[in-house]
Amino acid sequence: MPMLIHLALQDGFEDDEIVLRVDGSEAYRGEGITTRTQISHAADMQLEVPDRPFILEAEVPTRGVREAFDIDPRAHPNVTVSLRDGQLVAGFPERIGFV
Amino acid sequence: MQPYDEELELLDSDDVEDEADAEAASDPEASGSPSHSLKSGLYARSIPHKIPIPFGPAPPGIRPIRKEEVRFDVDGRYPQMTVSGTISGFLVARVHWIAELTKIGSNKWQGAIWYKDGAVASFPYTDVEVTAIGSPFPAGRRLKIKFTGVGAAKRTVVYKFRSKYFRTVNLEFDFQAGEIADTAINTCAHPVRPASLPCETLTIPKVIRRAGCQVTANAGSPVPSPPGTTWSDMEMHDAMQIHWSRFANTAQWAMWVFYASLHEAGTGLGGIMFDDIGPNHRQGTALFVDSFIAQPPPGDPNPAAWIDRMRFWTAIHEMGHSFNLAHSWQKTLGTSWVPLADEPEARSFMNYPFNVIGGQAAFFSDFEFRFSDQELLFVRHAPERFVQMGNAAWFDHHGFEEAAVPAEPTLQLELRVNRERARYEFMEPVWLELKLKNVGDQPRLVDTDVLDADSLTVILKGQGKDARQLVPFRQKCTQPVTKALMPGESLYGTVLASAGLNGWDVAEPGSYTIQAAAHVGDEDVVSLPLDLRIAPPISRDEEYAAGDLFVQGPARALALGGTRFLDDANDVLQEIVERFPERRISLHARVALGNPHTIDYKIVRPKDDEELEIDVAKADPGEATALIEPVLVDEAETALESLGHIRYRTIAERTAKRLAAAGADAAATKTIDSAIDALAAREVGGRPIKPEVIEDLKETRKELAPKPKAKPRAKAKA
Repeated sequence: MPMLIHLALQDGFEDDEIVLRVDGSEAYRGEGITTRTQISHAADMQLEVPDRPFILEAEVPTRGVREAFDIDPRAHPNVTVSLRDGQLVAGFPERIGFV
Repeated sequence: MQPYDEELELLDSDDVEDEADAEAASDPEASGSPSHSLKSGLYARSIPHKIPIPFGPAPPGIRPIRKEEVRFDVDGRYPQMTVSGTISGFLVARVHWIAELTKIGSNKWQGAIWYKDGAVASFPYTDVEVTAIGSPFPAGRRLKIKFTGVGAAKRTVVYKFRSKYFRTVNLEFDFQAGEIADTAINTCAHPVRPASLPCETLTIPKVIRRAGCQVTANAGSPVPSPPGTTWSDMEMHDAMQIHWSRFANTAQWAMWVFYASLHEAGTGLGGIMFDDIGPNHRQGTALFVDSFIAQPPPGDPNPAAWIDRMRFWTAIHEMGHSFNLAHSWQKTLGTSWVPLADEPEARSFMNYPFNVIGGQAAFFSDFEFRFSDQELLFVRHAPERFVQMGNAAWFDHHGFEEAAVPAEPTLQLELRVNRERARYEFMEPVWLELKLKNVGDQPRLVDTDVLDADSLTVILKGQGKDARQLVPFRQKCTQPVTKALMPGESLYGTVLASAGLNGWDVAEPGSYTIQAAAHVGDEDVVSLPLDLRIAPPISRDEEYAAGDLFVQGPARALALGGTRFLDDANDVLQEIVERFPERRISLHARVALGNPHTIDYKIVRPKDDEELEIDVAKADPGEATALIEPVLVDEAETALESLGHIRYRTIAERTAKRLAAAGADAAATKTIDSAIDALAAREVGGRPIKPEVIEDLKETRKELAPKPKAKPRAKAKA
C-alpha cells in the first residue's frame, strides 16, 4: 500500500531543475526552483511512496549533482532536501512548516 | 497574558528605563550588583563639526570626525565581552571597529580589534584598553578607551554614557480585523520548559530589550479584511504601506509586525518576513495565527499554552529576520558579515523547534527565550547598515548606513535647481540651491554657515556608478555664529555639485541623483534626492574641449570665482569663451575670468628661496565689465537660470559694488539695474522671486547711486 510523505526542498536552490525518484521511478520534476531564504523553502509536496523503506534519489541536473538516501517512511514521514556546498543533504524533522 | 494595549501604555511611559533597571537589578544573570554598577551600554561623544580632529593617519579627503559612539558589552543580560565603535565623519565617511575583551582589573578590560569596516586606512589601531569610570548617576558614567597599534600614535578618548541599550527600535503590531495581536506570554504556562526558567509575563518588547535594543512602540490598529481572507506577499506589502504609521522609503530603526490569519500558501506557512522587494527590505513581517503554529502536537500536555508560545516564538522569529538574522542552520549561506558557524542545535528564536534532535519537546525544554550569542553579537555590534531595517538587503551581510534624523523633524532641507526641468547643457556647471526651513512651531538655533559647502554632506550618484561624496575646494575654520531660525523662516545656500577635490563627478552626459544633508547639532537634515540630467555634447569640438575643462584647475577657478594665478585654467576658460560663446559654460567662464579684475588682487609669489612677496594686480573695471557685463546684463535671463538665483544675485551685487568702488559708476548701475529687472521678471513653476530679494537689491542700488557733486560756494565779493 502506498503512503504519503511530506517532502520539502529547502536551502541552496537557485533557478534549478530538480528531479526526485522513488526506487528509480520519477516522482517529481521541477524547474526554476529557487529557495526563499527567509522561510528556507523552495518547494514542498506530498510524495507517494511505498509503505516500506525505499531509495529516494534527488538529482539537480543544472548543477550535475545527484544523491541517494535510504528512507523509512514510517520512521521519517517528513523529509527535507537541501543543497549545501555542492552536495545534496537530507533532513528528517519532526514536522515540516515554514516560518 | 496582558492585552497589548496595556503593555503599550507601559512602553510609552517615561518609566521604560526604570523598568529595565529594576529588571536588571533583580535578574540573577546580572552581576549581582545593583543596576547602577552595570557598565554596559552605549557611550558617545559629539564633536562640534567645525573643529577638525584627525583620528590618525588620514588619507586626503577624509573628513573631520563628527561623532563617535561605542557599545560596551561586558555585563548585564547575555554579555558578549565585546566593545565596538563607530567613528563618523559626515554621512558617508565612517569607520566601524569591534574588539573582543578580557577583564584585566576591577574596571579594566583589554582586547584585540578583530573587525574593521569603512575608512580603515584612517584607523591603524589593533588593540584597545578600556577603563570604565562608574557613577551612581548614569550621566556621570564614563568610558576611557586607549587605542594602540604598531607604528600608530596612541589615541585616548573618553566617552559619556548615553544609554544602557545599544540600539533603539520602533515596533508596531497591527492585526487583521478579527484577530488579536498577542505580544506576551506566561513563560511557565507550558510544563515543557527549562527548570531554571524564571516564571514571568514575558513580552515581545522585553525580549528585544534583552537583546540590547531599547523599544518604542506605536499603538496598533486593525487592518480591515473580509472573513476568510488569505494574504499574498504583495497584499501584505501594500497593507504595510497603507497601515504602518512609520512607513517610509528609507532605512530606519522601525518594523511592522502583522498578525494575520493565513497566507495564500496555506497552513504550512506560519510566518514570513515578506519584505524582500524594492530598495528597502526587512521592514515588514507577518505571522499567520491560523496556520500550523496553531496545531499543537498530539498528546501535548497544555495545547492552549503550546499555541500561545508558538505564536510568541513565531512573531519574534520573523522580527529576527527583520534584524537580518538568518536561520540557525543557514549561517554559512549567503553573504555573512563575518565568517559564521551554522548552529543547527541552537536554542534560539532563529532555529526551528521541530528541526533539532528530539524535536520541539527537546527544543522547548531547553529554550530560554533568547537569541544565540552569535546573533546577539550581530544585533548589538555589527555595522548599523547590516542590521537596520530597510538598509542592507535581506540576507546581505546577515546575521552577523545613518542619518541622525529625529522621528518628528522640525527642519526641512530642500535641494533644488530653480529651473523648470533639471536639464543641463554639456559642460554647464551644476550649481544647486538649498533651502533650510523651520517647519516646526518653535525657533531653532542654527549656525549661519550651516548651508556652506564644507558644512554639508552632498552625495553624488551617476546612473550605474558608485555614489561619491562631494569634497568642496574650500574648507573654512570659523567661529560659529548662531541664528534663531523662527517657525516658517528659511536659510538659503548654494553649492557647486559638478566638481570638487574629488574631481568632476557630475559632468559626463547622463542621469544623476544628488542628495544633501545639513548638520544641526546632533541632527541630520536630509533632503529628498534630486534627479538631473546632463545632455551630450553637440559637437566633437565640445567633446575635445571638455577634456581640458574637466580637470582640477578650471574646476577651482569656477568654484572659487576666478584666479589670477592658475594661468592654464584661465587659458582654458578663455578658449571656451571664444569657441563656445553661445553655450552656457561660457557664462560661467566669463564670471570666473572677470571677477579677479573687480578688485586689487593680491598674489603671493616666491621672491627667492626664503622669502615670499605679494604682488598686487590693480582692479581693472574695464576688463571686468567687458567680461562680466555680457553675462549679467546681455544674457541676464539665461545667466539667472544657469548660475542659479542666489549666485546670480550675489555675483551681480558684488560686481556692482566693486565697480562702484573702482569708480565705474555707470557700469555698476547698469549691472544692478539688470539684476533687478531680471529677478523681478523671473518665475519658476509659477513662483516669482521673493519680493524682499528685489527690495534688498533696490536698497543696494540706492547706496551705489552716484552722489550729486556739491556745488562750489560762491566767493564773497570783497
